[in-house]
Amino acid sequence: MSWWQRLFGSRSSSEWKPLLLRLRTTRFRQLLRNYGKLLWLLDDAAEKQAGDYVLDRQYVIALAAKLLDLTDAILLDLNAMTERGHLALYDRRDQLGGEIDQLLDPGRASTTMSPDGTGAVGAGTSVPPSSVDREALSRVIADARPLYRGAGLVVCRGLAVGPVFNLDRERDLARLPAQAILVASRLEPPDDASPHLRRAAAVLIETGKSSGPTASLVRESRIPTIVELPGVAQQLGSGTQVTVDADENTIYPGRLQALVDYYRAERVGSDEEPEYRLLRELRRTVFPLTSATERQSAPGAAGCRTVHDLVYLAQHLAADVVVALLSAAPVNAGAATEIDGGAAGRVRLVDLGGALDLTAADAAAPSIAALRSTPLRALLAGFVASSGPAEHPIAAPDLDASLLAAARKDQACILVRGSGATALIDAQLIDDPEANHVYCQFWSSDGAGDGSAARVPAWSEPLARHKFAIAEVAGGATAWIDGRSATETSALLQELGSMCARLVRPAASGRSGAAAEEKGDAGERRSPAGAGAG
Amino acid sequence: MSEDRLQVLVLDDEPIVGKRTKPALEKYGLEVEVFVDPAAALRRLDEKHFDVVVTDVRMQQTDGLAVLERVCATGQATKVIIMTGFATMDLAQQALSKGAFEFLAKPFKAADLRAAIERAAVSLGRPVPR
Repeated sequence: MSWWQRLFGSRSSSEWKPLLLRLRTTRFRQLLRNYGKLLWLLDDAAEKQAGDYVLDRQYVIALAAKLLDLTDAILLDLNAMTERGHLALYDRRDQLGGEIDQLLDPGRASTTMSPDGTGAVGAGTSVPPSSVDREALSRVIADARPLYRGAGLVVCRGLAVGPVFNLDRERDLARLPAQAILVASRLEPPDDASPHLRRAAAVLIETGKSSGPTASLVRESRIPTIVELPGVAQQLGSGTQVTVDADENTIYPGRLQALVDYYRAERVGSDEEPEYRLLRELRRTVFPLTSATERQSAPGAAGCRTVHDLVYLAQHLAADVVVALLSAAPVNAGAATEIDGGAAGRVRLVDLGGALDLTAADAAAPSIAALRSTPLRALLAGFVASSGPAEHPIAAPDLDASLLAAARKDQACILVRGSGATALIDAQLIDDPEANHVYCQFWSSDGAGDGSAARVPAWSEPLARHKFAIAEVAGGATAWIDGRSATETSALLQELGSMCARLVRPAASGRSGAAAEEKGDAGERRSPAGAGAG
Repeated sequence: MSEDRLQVLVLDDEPIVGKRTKPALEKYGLEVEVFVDPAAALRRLDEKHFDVVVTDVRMQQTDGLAVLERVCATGQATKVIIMTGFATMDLAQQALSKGAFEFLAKPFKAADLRAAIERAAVSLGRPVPR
């Protein structure tokens, strides 16, 4: 018997230990901080690779080392939380680390332009360097009045010239002419869109992000692309001639011939240098979250094809530990206090220190007014504001509480349970922005594949607008944000509470996602790569 | 005529850095020479006056801080911008105490480098690149 088991009893013990919940949530929070750092690194690397950054090989090597260090820390915390229950994940980590080492082994650097001079400009054509007057070039650039400069996010660098094809007005991507500048308010190309999209000389989108299928496609095809360009679909009508300098995150009206000549002569722009290719290959090894589609056929550690799969699984398994402890907190034995959450339904709270202030007046039937935990109060404020009348509480009929929480004055770990979806939220809210964070993990209670997975974008999109780092799988997702002020963090929690109220509302034919948890079983939650990782 | 333009020397032993920075500076009217070999860069510094020197710190043959000291020792009106992927407060303080004009952490945006060079031009009383 390990010292853990001697201290807290065996895992099968039915005796519930508040100290264990305190230790587990503290360790879980530590794990989440590293998980959050890793998500930010993934986002940051996607942005760095995209376009207007100057990076070198050392950056790629240092990035790989940081990612693996964070992975080690996450696996350490998971195994501390589970009494070394997932040591097998280390083996997979070592295998993936070996693949990355091989990739970074030092032993191991095109684009065309149409005859009429439109399209992406690269190394395919040559003009003698002497023909490019650099002073004239700088004058042309200085005199030009850019439509956009530094406003968007470069997804793929390079230069392109051509007429605009406005997808919002033309509607059919199949009609995109070769070497046109594709402009759209948003672009979610269907699976069969690749051949059409590859005809574009450049892509300009109002929304979009630096990662995802569209970003991968344009990078693979070396199509200069800028996203997050406000109003571009309104401003640029079909047929308008523009010059897109995605190296500089700039769009000029008309054709800047001197710039085109310079790109041709100096062979700059759309060629992919070895360092950027190495980063792309590293991202391919580390980033894609493939376990969502593979979990049935290859469960557990073996199903983790990437580092991201592995850490996603680890944080999910760690969350399972916290959920199981929260769900099993007995009210009768005094471990948890039931609070009347009004429209939010009943809240079962384990006070880990300063979360509750029971006065004589409300000790018998405590209400939200007795709560002192700032993150829990913020979440409930948003929850209640969006819940409607108190006579229609959120909780599914067969639950005895809609919210379970383990909280301190400035920290809270909250499980929100409903028929359609369930969420686990962890937050710290103090005066020091560096210490604040919000984490949420949500999943459809009915499982993926029956339409419930469609709820995920409803969660992800508002969180993405608030700049959360997000990892999505079918039917579930996690999101992380930190470094915000107390006011901002409180507002984010209220927004999350509001989303919880909307999304966990019981459906008429819904099945309770927490019915099993009421029996002390967290098995309703599905691990992204199966439950048998250990 | 080219002497009227701001003269910039870029030194980094990883070729990608010069390859990316040169066009980003030339397009805005700067005269740029790129080196991957510190010894060759130092020889060129003996031959020609540069307004701004942009140098990496950790290179296989020479420490970028040695390049900084060499430039400062000439007494010429040259501003040195240090770039590094291993940015620490210690290194920044060391570079600034030795006379560096600015400190740039890699990876950086080309626009950030241009902005640093513009500040150097202002400091030198030279026309700001357009």
